Amino acid sequence: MKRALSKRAMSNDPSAPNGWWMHHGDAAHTGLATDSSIDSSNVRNLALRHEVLLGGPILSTPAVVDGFVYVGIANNLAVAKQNGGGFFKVCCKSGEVVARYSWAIEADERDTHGFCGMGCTPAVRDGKVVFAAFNGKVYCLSADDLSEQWVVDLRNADPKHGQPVTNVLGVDQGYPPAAGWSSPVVANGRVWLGIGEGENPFMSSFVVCLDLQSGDVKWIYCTNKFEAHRDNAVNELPISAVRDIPGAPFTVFHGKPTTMGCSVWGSIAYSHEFDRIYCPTGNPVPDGALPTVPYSNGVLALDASSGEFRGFRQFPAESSYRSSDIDVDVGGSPTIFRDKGGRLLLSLGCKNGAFMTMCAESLEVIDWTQLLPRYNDGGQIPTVDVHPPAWVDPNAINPTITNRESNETQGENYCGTYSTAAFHPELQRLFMGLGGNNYHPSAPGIDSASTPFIRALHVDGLADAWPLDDGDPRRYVHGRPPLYTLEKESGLALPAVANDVVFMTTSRLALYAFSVHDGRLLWQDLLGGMETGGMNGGYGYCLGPAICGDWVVTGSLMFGASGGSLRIYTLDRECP
Amino acid sequence: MRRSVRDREAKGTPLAGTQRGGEQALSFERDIKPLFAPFASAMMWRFDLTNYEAVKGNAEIIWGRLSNAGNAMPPPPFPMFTAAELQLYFDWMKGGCKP
Repeated sequence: MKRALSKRAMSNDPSAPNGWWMHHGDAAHTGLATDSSIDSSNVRNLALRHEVLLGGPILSTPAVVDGFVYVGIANNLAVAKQNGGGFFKVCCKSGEVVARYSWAIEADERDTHGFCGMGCTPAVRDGKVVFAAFNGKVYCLSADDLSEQWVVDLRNADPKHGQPVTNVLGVDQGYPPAAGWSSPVVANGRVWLGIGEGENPFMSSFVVCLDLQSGDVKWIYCTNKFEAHRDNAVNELPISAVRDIPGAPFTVFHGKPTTMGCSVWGSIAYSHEFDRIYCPTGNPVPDGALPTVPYSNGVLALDASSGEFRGFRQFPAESSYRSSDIDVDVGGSPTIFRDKGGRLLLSLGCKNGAFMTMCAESLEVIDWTQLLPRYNDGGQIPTVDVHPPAWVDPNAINPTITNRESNETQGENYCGTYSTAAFHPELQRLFMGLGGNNYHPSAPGIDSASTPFIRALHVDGLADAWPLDDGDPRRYVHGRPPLYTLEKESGLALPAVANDVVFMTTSRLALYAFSVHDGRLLWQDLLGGMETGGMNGGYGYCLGPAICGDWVVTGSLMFGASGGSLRIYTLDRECP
Repeated sequence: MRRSVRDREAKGTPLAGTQRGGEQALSFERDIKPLFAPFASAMMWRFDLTNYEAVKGNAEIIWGRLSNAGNAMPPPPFPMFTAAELQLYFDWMKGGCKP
């Protein structure tokens, strides 16, 4: 089955390249490989071609373009004091590193988790590679030889690029500095990304638009709403984030914003049709249960060219698994797609476990659902979204907590979603990863007995698209194992669709291929890692895959070796 | 097999870090590297804890994580550092991070 739609048609962007050229495949973040021959008839022949050790862990899905992988590492063991990052161009056929770029940083420039390199998917377009790093800088390299084209500092003012923001307030008190987690989106000669740090109560958050050729700032939008009665103006900057009052086009807001936080962690999605960007936002500081102050815990729409406000939508309060859920960031990214009627829609997941679809033009909610399971009578499952009360030892591993205790205790939903939906246009289905990280002692990132690490949903109504059994709670009939099987196996990553196959990576670490039709397991590769222990079920990530033609590529952070590896798979034509 | 600090404590052998008087400075190779050996592989995603320059260059950061009572490293299932092990590392760090 060969795909009739190309990425260009999907995104309505005539100049969009093919390949997995940026976060989740394209500027609409469809997670759809349009140029692959991999399908259910041949995926069993998918074979590991290369495992490449890059001298550090990989904390992002790579980009794959024209037979080359572009990938960075989160820490670099090869630079001075092992504080810094590295970026690599790897040939899919040979597995050889054909170009590299590295940078060292001071230890106190790292992000709040201790990462010093980078953790976003690079954008590869118009002969350039663009990525953000944990030191708050955006790098642009030549896609050919990774020679440096320009570097812009978004943490400290960078006058030569017209960047006036110095975003370091609170750092001297031990709070983390602004860091670049957001994968840049590139279109029409421009770059958009988020910059901020939601764990620092003094720090502002921004969406920044840069010129692809020069790195010069085109506009900046602060995602901390200044005043309740109006939306922020483009290029309006908080006084706390500027040291010298900037000239036009910038203006300064001298008051105290209604909230801090609201960082854009995920990748911004771009609609060519509306020339609009959609920015996923994190929790506010101070935090609370939904509804929270704008522009937190939702999606902010801006005009892509001018940066002017176009709309905001927050997850509804009733969408949380528990009304006591707080810290309900949107950690993933929006997916832009068309429904069977031709409408341009947007889907988005939230750490509270909810998932919703919206009209891309108005941001009106069309449907929402809670991805985390409930009993058939609607009751909450005590082992899902556990909130330990204050009397529980914070170092106790998985203490028994009742529903009542969790509902009476405000806390983070460790089981929600950080994923971004992959879209299957013919079947009109959306696939979402489910589950959080495993570094909280009181609960793992997923209640594996009741929760699948991937959900398949119909676009229309968001009902389950794979057959369910009659159990309590109801579970997918097919695909187990691995679904519902290995304790703490979490779907932190992003599904990817190639024809009638949907790929998913997990914290096991593992890469799986399921049938898009019914969830049957078609193929798997178990990388290992979880069994090495650490934290609450292993501290490991396998991210991706990226799919370009018949190349399937994952990156991983795992115990042992050099901290992670790059894996390159392709169809083995000689297999039966 | 490495004879751990914890073993030495249990057997009542004096710890290097407790030998005050300045006759023998604490050393990375002899005193600190063995402390990290059980989980050095697990920490490769961040540091090579067997690498003197890396540990020296990040000594304060490592101390911050070891001594953070609410979120201490190493994480479960590794046992937390004992008070004596923490003191040993602290003394080595404050003594100038000798190789």
